[in-house]
Amino acid sequence: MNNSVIKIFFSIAAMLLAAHVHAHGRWVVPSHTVLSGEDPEYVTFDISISNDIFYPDHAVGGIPEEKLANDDAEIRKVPPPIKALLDSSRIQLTKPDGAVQSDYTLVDFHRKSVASALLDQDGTYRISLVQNPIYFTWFEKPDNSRGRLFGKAEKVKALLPKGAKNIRTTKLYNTVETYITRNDGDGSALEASNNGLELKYLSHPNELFVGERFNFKVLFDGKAKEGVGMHLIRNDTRYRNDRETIELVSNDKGLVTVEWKKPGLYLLEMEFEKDASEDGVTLETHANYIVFEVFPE
Amino acid sequence: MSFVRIVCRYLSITAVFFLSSVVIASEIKIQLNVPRLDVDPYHKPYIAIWLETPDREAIGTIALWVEKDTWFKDLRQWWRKIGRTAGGSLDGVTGATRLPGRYSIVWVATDQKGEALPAGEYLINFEASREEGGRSYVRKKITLGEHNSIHVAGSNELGEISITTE
Repeated sequence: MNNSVIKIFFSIAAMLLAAHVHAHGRWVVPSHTVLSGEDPEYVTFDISISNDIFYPDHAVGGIPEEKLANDDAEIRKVPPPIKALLDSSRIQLTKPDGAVQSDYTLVDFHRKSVASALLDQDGTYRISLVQNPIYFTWFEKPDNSRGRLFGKAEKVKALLPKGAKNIRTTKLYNTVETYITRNDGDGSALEASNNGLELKYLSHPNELFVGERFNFKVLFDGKAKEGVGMHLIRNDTRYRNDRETIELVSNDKGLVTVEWKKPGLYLLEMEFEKDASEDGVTLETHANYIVFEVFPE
Repeated sequence: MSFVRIVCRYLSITAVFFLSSVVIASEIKIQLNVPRLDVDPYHKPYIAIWLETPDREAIGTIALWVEKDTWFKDLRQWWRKIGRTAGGSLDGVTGATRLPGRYSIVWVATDQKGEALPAGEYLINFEASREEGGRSYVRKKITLGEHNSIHVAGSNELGEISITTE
């Protein structure tokens, strides 16, 4: 092999392996990830969308805070497709006994949304931001620049510029979640659903300490998935010049191992694309955003 | 004379047999200093001392000085290894938080069923966490059945520690 062939080979390999996370970062940050004691306790969640990890930028929906202060307050205007998406947002708890609850009050504080839940069972809770899947229609303009509209192609037809070509629709499924463990007795909240992109934990996600290994398996529709790229970003990016992103890829058995070197709050971002099964949709994108808390030894 | 010798040999064989069939639990003696800190307000630290196998499997809590259970989680290593599953088994080792000073603890090395722990290597853990303060965590290898003393220098929330095994 000559040098240029090797170079091309490695650059293609690097492209395939790199974590392609196109969408904005998003998260559910709980006030506590571990709780002890007999009395049930509240946990409060900050939910936001931002590329500045853990610095909130956009709320995900909920009751507008101005409405809480004044019933007649003028509510900010949001374009209809985004409003429909924000209106679909809810916080959902999968409890240790398997019960699912999602009727929590969510308040929109502009830069972030906030919700709270009383945790009264012993074991591990899964806390998820649940939203409708998002359709994007991508196109190229006659000048070859790219554009994007919210919605499926048939719905946004009228909005496409004249001469738009290479029109395709992607459907984006976002999983945004974190976990909390109260006392002992894990329960069933961490069990895999065998539906979509998810992680099967081989180490407990609420027992993460520097110097220890964290093992999990990437599943898609219940099957181990190889080659899924992902990255981990630690909090306080604003106070360091290097983002210190940890890049990971699932191996041939879908396994990923992280050896924690620094404590902190971490956002795991991963994305996986496949051909869509739905009519009028070209690609499905499955993206997961998971918050982990890592303690010093 | 030969009769006496035979009796002596018999006795010594009996003694060896007796020692090998009844394991007498060894003791771990601990001297622990709760450091005096020049801070205002001062909150007394939550402290846990416990034993693990070399593979970090929990064996038992030696001492637990705490107040409210909602803060037990801040003794993070103790909480994950023992606290969250311990329940009522902590009654015998739990006490109130301590003021700065020097404390002595003698622990008979037994498992949860009260049976003597076999001689060999173990990990002894010390963890302290203080409201409006920091957290300190020390883990040291000790050998039961061997006379030895270990000294650990103080660090933020834990003063000097000495551990004596026999």
